[in-house]
Amino acid sequence: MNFWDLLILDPMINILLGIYSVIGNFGIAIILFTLLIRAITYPLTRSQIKGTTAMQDMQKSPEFQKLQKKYKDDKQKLQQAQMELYKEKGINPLGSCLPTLIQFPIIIGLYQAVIRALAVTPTQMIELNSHAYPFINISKLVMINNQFLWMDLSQPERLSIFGIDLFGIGGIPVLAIIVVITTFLQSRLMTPPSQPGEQGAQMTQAMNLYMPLLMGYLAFSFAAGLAVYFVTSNLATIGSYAMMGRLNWDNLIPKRKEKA
Amino acid sequence: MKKTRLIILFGLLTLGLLISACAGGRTQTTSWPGLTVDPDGEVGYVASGTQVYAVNLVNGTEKWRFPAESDNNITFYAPPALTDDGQLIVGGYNSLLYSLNPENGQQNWVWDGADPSQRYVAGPLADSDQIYAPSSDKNLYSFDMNGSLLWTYTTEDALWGTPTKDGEVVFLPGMDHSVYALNAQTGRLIWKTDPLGGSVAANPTLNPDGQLYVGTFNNELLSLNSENGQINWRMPAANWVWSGPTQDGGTLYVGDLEGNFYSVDAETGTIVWKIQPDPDNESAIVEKPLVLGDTVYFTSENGSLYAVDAANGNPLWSKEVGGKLYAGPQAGAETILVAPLNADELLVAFDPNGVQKWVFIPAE
Repeated sequence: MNFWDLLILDPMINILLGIYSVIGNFGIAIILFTLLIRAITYPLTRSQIKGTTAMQDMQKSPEFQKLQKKYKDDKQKLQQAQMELYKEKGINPLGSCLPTLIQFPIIIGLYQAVIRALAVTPTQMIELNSHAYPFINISKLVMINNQFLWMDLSQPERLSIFGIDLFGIGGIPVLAIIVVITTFLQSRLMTPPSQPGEQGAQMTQAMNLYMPLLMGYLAFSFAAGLAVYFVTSNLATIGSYAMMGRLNWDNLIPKRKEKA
Repeated sequence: MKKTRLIILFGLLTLGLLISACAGGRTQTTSWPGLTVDPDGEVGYVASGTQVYAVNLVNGTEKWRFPAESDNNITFYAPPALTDDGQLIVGGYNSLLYSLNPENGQQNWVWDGADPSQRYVAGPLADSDQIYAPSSDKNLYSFDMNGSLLWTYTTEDALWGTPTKDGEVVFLPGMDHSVYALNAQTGRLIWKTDPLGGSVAANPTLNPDGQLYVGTFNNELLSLNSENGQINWRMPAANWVWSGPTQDGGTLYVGDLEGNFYSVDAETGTIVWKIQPDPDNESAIVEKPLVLGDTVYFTSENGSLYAVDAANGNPLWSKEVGGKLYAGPQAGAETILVAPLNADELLVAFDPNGVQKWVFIPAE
């Protein structure tokens, strides 16, 4: 038993199985599990928003502008001075990255948990037996029903309409498309307004373009259970930002931005 | 601007690769090798990964492989079945059922009627005039010897166990927690057990006196009345009993996934003796043991082959083969054969005293 299994994988598998044992639908179990993860990581999300706001305010402050002017020809010194200013004001410039970074072990763990819990092959079934906690009545639960709406949660999702397969990929990857759209929406709506030409803004623009494609690729290639997690997670993130009044609609509707 | 974008693109691609690698990808091994020995004990047929191999059991050399060139889209793990009229039937994880010539591996026919998103986990059952192929798509398919579909019986969940046949009745184990008795000619249901508390993943053992023995994921070995499916007795185990037992006279031998190995009175279900050869690791004992004379041979997940005294379970010898040994031992050409998973060797042969005779490692 390694630390990954002990701390990440086994709890995830057993929480999923626990929810499934009550609900009886693995797709809904993934959705509820995702919301649970979002609730657990909510303090991080909140601190990310606070951190981003503080950073924005700081970047607009006269002190910051002054530093930029003072060290405009010496980038290294500028960075040093900015870091000192962040430190002085108690802002951690990397703090806003943490909730994003924490997503990746969750994605990997969740994917492994979904595949192991669904256990569609003998070796996966034996592994599931060894990962299940004693209080989960795994004998009664297997085999887990892997059907959710039109999807087989253990397989990459494709929707076949009248057997038509236009691109030779087995059908329309509806969920992957939804993942691209919701990731794009999430990125755009959460991005704070920035000055054109800023290096940070350039990076954000690039992230907004590539991140949805990466997530879409993962949703296209891996089991549909992972894509259900992506969509739920994206919608939950947008929802939590909306509740805090932090959605930046101007990024989505350029005309409104011009008016503003 | 361009440089920043390239850095981010590179970073995200690396991240994508990392997630793909950590998530396990889609090409991981999904089952263990399926081994079948011909009735003369001279040739072994091993379904493992992308190919099915025919191995000369006298010297461990390869006779042929199918397909000749491996294709990553086609994998085989279900034990092949030999028919009385000289065909080798093997189901693939690509959901195709193949009939091969056991002499040279040439394809006779292929059947593609099962759900293409599913697979053949269980080996087929074949006799002189019919073939029965259980699929993960919940169906048992029956064919004539030319591969023409005769009937289909649909259960409520995947089928992972080879059926057992007794004259006109086929006994079918189901992952839906039930065992079915079907008319072999028509596929009509004769009886179905009430839910047994857990999946039944491997083929039942039929006693000539009419008792049908099945292991279940409900930590039990059960004896069923083959006439009506009623439970005669239940033997509690410490963990899942994956396979049916091997019967030798009035005694049954079976293992569980916690590494316990049991000798059980076939009439009453009373445990005669019980051992746990690897208590520290509780290595799973998955498939049926082999009984030869006074010795019982069984394999364990820890990669060891064990030989114990059938009378009392006293250890005689054990050999560490390597990899994981989920597939049960089989006899052929006066040797004990084991097919490890995740090892270079595909097949290893021991004499009855545990002396290694040969290993078969497929040439690249």
